Amino acid sequence: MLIESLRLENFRNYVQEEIRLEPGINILFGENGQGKTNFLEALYFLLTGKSYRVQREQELTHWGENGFRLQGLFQVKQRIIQLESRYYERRKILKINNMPCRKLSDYVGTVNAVYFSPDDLILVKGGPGERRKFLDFHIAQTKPGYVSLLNSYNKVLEQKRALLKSNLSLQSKRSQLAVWNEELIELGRKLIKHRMNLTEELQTVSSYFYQHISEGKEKMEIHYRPLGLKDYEEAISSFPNLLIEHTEQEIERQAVLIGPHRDDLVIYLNQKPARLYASQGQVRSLVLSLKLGEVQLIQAKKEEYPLLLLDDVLSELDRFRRKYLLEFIYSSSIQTLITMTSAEEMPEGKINRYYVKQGQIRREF
Amino acid sequence: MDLLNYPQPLADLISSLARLPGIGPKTAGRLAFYLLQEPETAEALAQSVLKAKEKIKSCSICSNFTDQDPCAFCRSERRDRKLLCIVEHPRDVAALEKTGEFKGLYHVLQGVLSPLEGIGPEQLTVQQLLQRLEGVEEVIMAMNPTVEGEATAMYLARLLKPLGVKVTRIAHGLPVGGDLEYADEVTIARALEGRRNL
Repeated sequence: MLIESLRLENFRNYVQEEIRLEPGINILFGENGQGKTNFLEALYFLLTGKSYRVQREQELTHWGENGFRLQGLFQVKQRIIQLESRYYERRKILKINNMPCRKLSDYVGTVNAVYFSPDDLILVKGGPGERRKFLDFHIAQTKPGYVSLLNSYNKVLEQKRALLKSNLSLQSKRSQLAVWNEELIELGRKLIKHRMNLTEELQTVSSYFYQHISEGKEKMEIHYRPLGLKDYEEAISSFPNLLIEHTEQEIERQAVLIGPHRDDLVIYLNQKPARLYASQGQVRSLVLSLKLGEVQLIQAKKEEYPLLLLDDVLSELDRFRRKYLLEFIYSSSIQTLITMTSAEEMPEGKINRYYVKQGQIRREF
Repeated sequence: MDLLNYPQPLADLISSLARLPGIGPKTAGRLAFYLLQEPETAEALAQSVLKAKEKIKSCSICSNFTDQDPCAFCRSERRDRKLLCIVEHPRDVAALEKTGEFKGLYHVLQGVLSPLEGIGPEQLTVQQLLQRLEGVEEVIMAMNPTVEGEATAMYLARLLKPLGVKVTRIAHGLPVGGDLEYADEVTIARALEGRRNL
């Protein structure tokens, strides 16, 4: 997949800007606060209809304006695709080739990208919620029905939570809990299946990358822990009983204690939980391996590499990891957008450079 | 729309109209101006609203809207009293009747279970349902295929099955005459789940 050009209108600190991008490595450089990250955010928004930094679109709008518009030309399987994301008067309009999309799930995943920033280091050291989000987002990009499955599951969760918090009698709480639990099991089972399938695929590719990045010295493994258990069959068969066993506790604590909304993806480094044992450098290698794994999985499913967006990560990597990453990008010819400050050393090889200053971008030759 | 720009009675009319389902502030404004320009339409509308409100009640047996209690369905000699179809709202009865396929009786729940909105079995017509099961052989659950609709169907099934009634759920899947390629993924997945032998 390729991005050919991107047009921004009233997005963050951009008033109006249009730039052409080239295959291979594109580097956006400049001082801090000039709009490098905003540019990647715009591209990400254009591909997913969402921002990874804020929930409300209004915050993405240039100060004093009442909306923004993003347009991009892409190449997917030798075809030109135009994407447009527009936000105006609190409404979001997403278009593919000038045709409006009724649902977000019809739009997301048309052009794929893998985004990597220093904030992603939280994947290893942060809580399970970050890792679930990582899995869910990836599945949503490649399996169209997943978004609505996830929404239904969350709806059941909300209803069950409301029931637990209500001041109904214990007896009526119990009789109603039974039916919400039944739905929780049905939808939860599917959720677990999707996440475990992805984890297995990711395990294969990411551990391969990690082995190379660590020069064969270390071993990475990832395991999805459905309902805190080891395998799928066990989780599925004990799901109903776990819910029954925890009913009293759930009623007492007014919280839904059992279900995939509490699952974790455990990352192991040399058979020890990475969350507790990995050093700063190892964390970087682990996240890099997960992200490259994601790139490889999208390539396997879509038969084309996604765009790779690296926000300020080169400076976070040591010489060896940096070289490994760049070699991977060159050898698989993935179109990559990299942001870095002016002070940093540019990578060697064929690169296209763009200077970013105060919401304006200038190609440098 | 800034209601302060309108005289109070007009502003009130617009905000009442905007409270109706499917009508936003702009449409409400357009309707209000239309009604003021067409006094006869306005009066006829006002009267039919009041009349409907006065005459239409809930049937004491099935909770469907009716002007006579019990309603025409519950009184009818020609309906099959062994079959009972449970729906969420009176408008669902109308939708099912249009098919002309169903000859049994109806029971309107007046909603679905939703703890978020404080709706439990007590807020629905579950008690009335339990009182009219004599002679009923099959109960058909025709709630909408939403998370709440499914939960309600399951709740009632648990309640009714021990009483020896056959409980069924209407099928979900592709619309007839529709194109497979235009159906959304979830519908197609459901249709695949519910496939049958030929």
